[in-house]
Amino acid sequence: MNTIFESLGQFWQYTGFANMTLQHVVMIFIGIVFIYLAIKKDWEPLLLIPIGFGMIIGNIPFASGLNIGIYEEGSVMNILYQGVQKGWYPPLIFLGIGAMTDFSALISQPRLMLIGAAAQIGIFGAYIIALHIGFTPAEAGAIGIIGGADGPTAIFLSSKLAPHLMGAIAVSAYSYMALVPVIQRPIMLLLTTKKERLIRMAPPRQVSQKEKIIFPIVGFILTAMIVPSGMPLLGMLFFGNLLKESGVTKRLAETARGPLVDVVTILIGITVGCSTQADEFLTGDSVKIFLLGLISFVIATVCGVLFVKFMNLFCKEGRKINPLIGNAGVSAVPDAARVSQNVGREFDKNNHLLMHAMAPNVAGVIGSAVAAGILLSFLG
Amino acid sequence: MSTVMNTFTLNDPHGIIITLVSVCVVFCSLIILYFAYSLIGKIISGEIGMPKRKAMASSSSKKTPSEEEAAAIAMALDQELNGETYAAIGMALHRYMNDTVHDMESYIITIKRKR
Repeated sequence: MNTIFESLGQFWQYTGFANMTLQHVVMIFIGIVFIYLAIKKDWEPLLLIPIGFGMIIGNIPFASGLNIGIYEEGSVMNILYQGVQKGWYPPLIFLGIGAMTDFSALISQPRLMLIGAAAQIGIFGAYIIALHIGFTPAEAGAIGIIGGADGPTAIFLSSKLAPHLMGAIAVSAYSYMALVPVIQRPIMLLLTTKKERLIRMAPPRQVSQKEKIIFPIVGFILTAMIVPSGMPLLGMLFFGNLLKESGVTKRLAETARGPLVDVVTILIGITVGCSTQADEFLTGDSVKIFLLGLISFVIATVCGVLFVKFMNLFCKEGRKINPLIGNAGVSAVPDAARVSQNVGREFDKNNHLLMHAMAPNVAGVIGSAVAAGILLSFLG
Repeated sequence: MSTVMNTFTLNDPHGIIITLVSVCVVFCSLIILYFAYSLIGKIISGEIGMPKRKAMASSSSKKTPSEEEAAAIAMALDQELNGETYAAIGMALHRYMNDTVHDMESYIITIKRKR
């Protein structure tokens, strides 16, 4: 009889209940909140559900030595996590993004590309603040990239510069990407006048197939020559776009933007979620990272909108740009462009800004990859 | 900490230099792309780079119907007698001469609310 009780007691020591701490409960609760927001509010469900469930998986306490934890060498989760740690999931996501993005809006109005550059100032604003509150230059660079509003880029850069902060950075980046409409709208309204919000932009010209094919080749050569360290992201982005636009690799393009990106999204989401183990995640640094992420998002949006107003000083009547597309300079595609469209229509039901906002939005993808490359070459 | 990072910590403790340099590089990259695509767009649309004679030939060929087209129009006029046909052919010719024969797109995307 005693042996049975001893065995049960021994088994109890292995259960999650016996090893549970308050921190684990908090993290599991956050995971459930993520899943709730994804289902109920439809906030980035493709990301928040895998991350949320990953948080629950990663925070089930267990006795060490079973070789099942994400940080235990050779475990299943650890093998899947290699794609995040070594930074090869993000370029695959970029391949999918390239294969699903139509760059016509950008090709037809190249001047809007500069808005995508202006919004990247958010990254460096957060970098400066992070340095001031005590992070090392590499950590500050990894945190700043949250302002690029690009989850894969944030994971790519933090895996190289500050792997120990990657969980917090990735969760922060994806959370704020989901909150783009909530964060950006008040800033856009604050910085624009009613007259500016009513500006109607001229329809963009049609783009030929030849231009669409030349775009990824020229774009890659020029950007990679300037920032070779951004090559994995830029190369895959433009390669994916060439698969789409060449017209002769439909099967490859469909795979890249369909099954491949879906598989990688599942793996990246679940492993990033898993990596947020309570003892590593619930720290003062994580709270600071969340605050800095918010600040960098705000700076990026402010800079994008103000830069459009600055550009308008030099634009002739009829060529003026609606500053409501300034927010779309961050690379949250197409959420930020959708915010421009929705806010624009609040003031003029027939003013459709979506196609114009897509230009700075996709420029933001290129810009954030370039910014990540620069930070990597300076701080890596 | 690597040597590069040590240098940055010592020379640029506030991150101002790296910020200025990085922002300049991001802007330069996208400005170069801007010029490249503006140029490519102009070349492809024929605004620059097309020889004058070729450009004139292509524009004059747009204004004057070819022999086959003229013959087809003459045949159509010959066969059709009612006034509506003449009017339709006249309108088509007028639009063809003014290069407005194609539909003009408004480029406005209409989004219907999901039900």
